[in-house]
Parts: sequence; structure tokens; C-alpha cells
Amino acid sequence: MRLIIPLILLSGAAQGATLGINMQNTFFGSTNPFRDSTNGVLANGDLVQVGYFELGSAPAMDGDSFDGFVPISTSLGLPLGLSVGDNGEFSATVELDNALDVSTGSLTLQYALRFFDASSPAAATFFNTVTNSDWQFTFTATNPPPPNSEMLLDPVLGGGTVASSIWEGGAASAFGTTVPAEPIPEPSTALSALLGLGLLIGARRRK
Amino acid sequence: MNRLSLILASALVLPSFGQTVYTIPQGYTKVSIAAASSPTEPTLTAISATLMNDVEHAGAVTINADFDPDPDADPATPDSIQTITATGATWAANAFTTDPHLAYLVNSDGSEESFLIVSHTADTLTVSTSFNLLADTRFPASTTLKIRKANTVGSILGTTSTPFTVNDRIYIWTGSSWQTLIAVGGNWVYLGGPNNNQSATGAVIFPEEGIFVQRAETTAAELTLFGEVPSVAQASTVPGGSSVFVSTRFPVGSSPVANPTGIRLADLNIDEIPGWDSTDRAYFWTGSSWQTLISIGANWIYLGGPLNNTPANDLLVPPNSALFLTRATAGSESTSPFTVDPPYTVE
Repeated sequence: MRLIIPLILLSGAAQGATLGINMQNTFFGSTNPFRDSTNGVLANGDLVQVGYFELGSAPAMDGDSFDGFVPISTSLGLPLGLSVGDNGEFSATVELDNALDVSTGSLTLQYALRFFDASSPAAATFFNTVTNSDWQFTFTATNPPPPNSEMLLDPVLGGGTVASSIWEGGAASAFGTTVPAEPIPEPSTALSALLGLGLLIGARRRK
Repeated sequence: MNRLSLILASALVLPSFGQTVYTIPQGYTKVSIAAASSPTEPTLTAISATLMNDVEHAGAVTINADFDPDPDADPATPDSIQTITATGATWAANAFTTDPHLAYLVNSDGSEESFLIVSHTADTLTVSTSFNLLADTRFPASTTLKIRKANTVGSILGTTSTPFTVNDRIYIWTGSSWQTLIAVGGNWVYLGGPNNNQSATGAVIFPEEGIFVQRAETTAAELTLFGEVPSVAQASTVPGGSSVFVSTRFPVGSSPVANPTGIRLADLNIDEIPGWDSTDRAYFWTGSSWQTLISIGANWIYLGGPLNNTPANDLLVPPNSALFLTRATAGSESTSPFTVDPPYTVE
């Protein structure tokens, strides 16, 4: 990892430690746009979640499970996360606080981006997730603080990162939403299912 | 402070302009950035631009009692201003804002402080200042002014001829975090932050500002900076509760006399910032980590590291470098000047 290692190593962080991350798929006029399942660019406002894996549960190669992904939304200014801009472009700087944003005692985590073909997981048909072993960053409370860490997927700065990244949908799915989103039951549907289950159990007992 | 004459100081940094040092001490200084041992093991170097551009106007001025803390009534915009009227000036309006210029004003202690000119008329400058210049007698109402073109990211780090590549990083301290800059296609571009992906080539680098350079290329980089050597003490502001990355302000060291490789920590006058005490911290970048320094009873002490609890007054801070200062103590901006004396005397 080329990023700011000397400063990060100074950490000895406690609760309230922070971590800044610059992330983008576009830089200086060149973009690797996020795309939908038909290869069109994602719409402005489609959801991008920043999240993390515990180091032991991070996928190390294509085909590994991405079930350990934990999305962060608390400090990002939006209920669910961030969003895609025009033409499938995405860029953001986030300042995370470990006391507020992660539900783990681990200070070093592997970060990831999950992007959807809609503005919420519930409305999405497909999504994809990308992570990289270079995206292991550490919360720190040191002073002076370290410069921001980087998750770069753009063509200018991110060439090496793109080549070594792991995509939930496999290498061929890079930048595209190809993983089917599991439908989240509507509250009324879930209630009906519970009611049906209850009736079924009741009928069996009556027998 | 050593009794090096300005002529000597000039000679140390101005080998090719020896004919002019008696009147205008101009020349160049070289700033070296070490090569990375490998692309994954970058070096980090603290630098600053200590030489000033040519004087484009000099004369007497009156600082007007019209400090406006929020001219656009938008509390989110830190755009406080104050005006300065120059005696007998006949400038073309806003000629000093086409390219950014700084107004160097002499404060009540005789030190120079610089402020960005945001607009002007034929004889009145509007400068950006975060505090009332007349408060707490920081400046006298009548003082002297020099106007110089400001250094910018592009003028210091280079554009088309820059030694930096997209693998290197520049970090500028914003007051609360580091802003990343990258050289690409003959331009400097912000990476992250509110100006993400926008050009940073023309962004002003103030003379009191430190710069952190991360070199991932396996070749050393060298910057040759031209300009005028400061001939009087240089001041900036380190208010209470703030964190600043400050320049050492001068291109030569104070010690040892015969071969000035650094400025003694004690000669930087950090502990003379009004209100500075043992709860405040100075951080010196060793090349691989921050060394914490603490001032107790007018003596600097190493805090932590291999020299923990030993005297640090004689720590040599390289010329053209920077220190990170964090104040836990209180102090308004107008009462918190940080003044660095020249490590030579003008004769």
C-alpha cells in the first residue's frame, strides 16, 4: 500500500479516533463509471454505500463471500449512504469516527464500496461490491492526524487498484451492478406471511 | 541569533546574484525531497517556501477601523475583511487580484505579516483577515506596506516541469485536516475535500504555511525556489485551540554558524507566542515520525521517542521546512502572533 503508512503506524487510538478517506471513480476528466445491468451508466442519485469488513472476514479473491460487509451511514450525511453523480461518476470524502460509525472494537478494517441501481437497497434490482486488500485503514487519534486514506477507482490514479480489486460479481463485473438484490419484503407482505404461518400452526394444533 | 550578516546569508543562498545582495537580497534556495526506497515505501518531507516575490508597491498606509467579520452575512463563509488606504497610490482597480497578491504589513513589533488582497481601488486595499488588525494594538493605524505577488501551488511545486507525478502526494493543512493535491497533466488537482477534482494550480501558498510532500517515486526531487530573502522578523497567527502547520520562515539556518544546517528550535520563538505553556505541543517531523516537543520554563524538552525527557533547545529544524503546532491554551487571534526572527542580522 502506497498510502501514508508512516503516519498511520503512529496510531494508538482509543474511542473517538477518526479516519478520513478520499474515494472516487473519476479524476481529472476521466471516469470508470458505475453501470447498471444493461451497461448503461447508473443514474444520478443511485445509492453508494461505504462499508467495511473485519479483517478476518474480508474476501480475498473472486468467489469469496461478501456477507461480512457492514454498511456505514451514520456520518455520511444521508440515511443510507452516498450517491452516484452524473454519468456514473462517484467521488466523496468521508470523515469517520470509530465511536459513531462502526459497530466493532477493531480499529483496522478493510473498506469497500457497494453501489446499487436505485436510490435504496429496497428499490434496487442489482448491486455490486468492490474491495481491495490495500483498503485496510486504521482509525487513529494521533496528533497531527494522518492525511486521508484513498480508495481510487478512476482511470488516472486507480489503474493498479482496479487491477487488484475484488468484485462481488466477479472480475468481469467490474463497475457493473450484476449481483441480484434480494427483495426486502414489504411490511404488509411480511405481516401476511406471519399471519399465514400462525393460521397454519393453529390448524395443525386443532387436528 | 547569530551575527551572520544579511550579505553572508545572501551569499549562502544567492550564489548567482551576488551583485545585488547589498540592496535587494534576491536569489534562490533549493529544497530537497528524498526518493522513496520503493513505490510502496514513500518518503514524507515537510517543506515551506520562504522566499518572497518582488515588491510591486511599497509605502505608507493607514489601516482603517472597518473590520467586517462577515461581509456576505453567511456564517458558513470565512471571508472577514478590512481595508487599508495607501498614501498617494494610483493603482488600476483590482490589478493585484488578476494574479493573487499579498499585502505585507509591519505590525506593532516591527515584524511583517502578510494578508491576501481580495480587491482594491486606486488607493485602498481590501484584505482578507480573520481578526481586526487594530485590535489589541497588533498593528498601528499608520504603518508601512509592501505588495508582492503570492506564491501558489503551481509556482512553488511546478506545473509542466514539476518533478512530481501522479504517484506523489502533496498535503496542505486546512486547519482541521490534510487536503491532498496531485500533479497531473501539467496541473495540480485537489483530491477529496470540498474542491475535489478542481484545479489547485493557482491556490495561494502563504509564507507561513508548511507543505507535506509524499514522494513515491524512487528518484529524489529538488525544488529551486527564487525570490527575496526576508530581512526582518516574519509573523503569523497561532490562536488558542488551533492546530497549524507553520513554516520556519527563513531559507538558512542559525547553527552551527559556519555551516548553518538548521534553525535551533529555541530560536524559533514558539514558546513566546503569548499564552503558550506546557499544555501546548510542537511536533517535528523526523522523516519517519512526529517527535513531540514541550516547552517548560523556557526550555524545550523531547516528549517521547529515543530522546524522551532530554533537552531539545538545540534541535536543528531544517531551513525551508515546517513544524506542526497545537495549542491547548486560550488566546484570541489578535493576541497570538508567532514571530520568527531572521537567523542573521541585517547590516
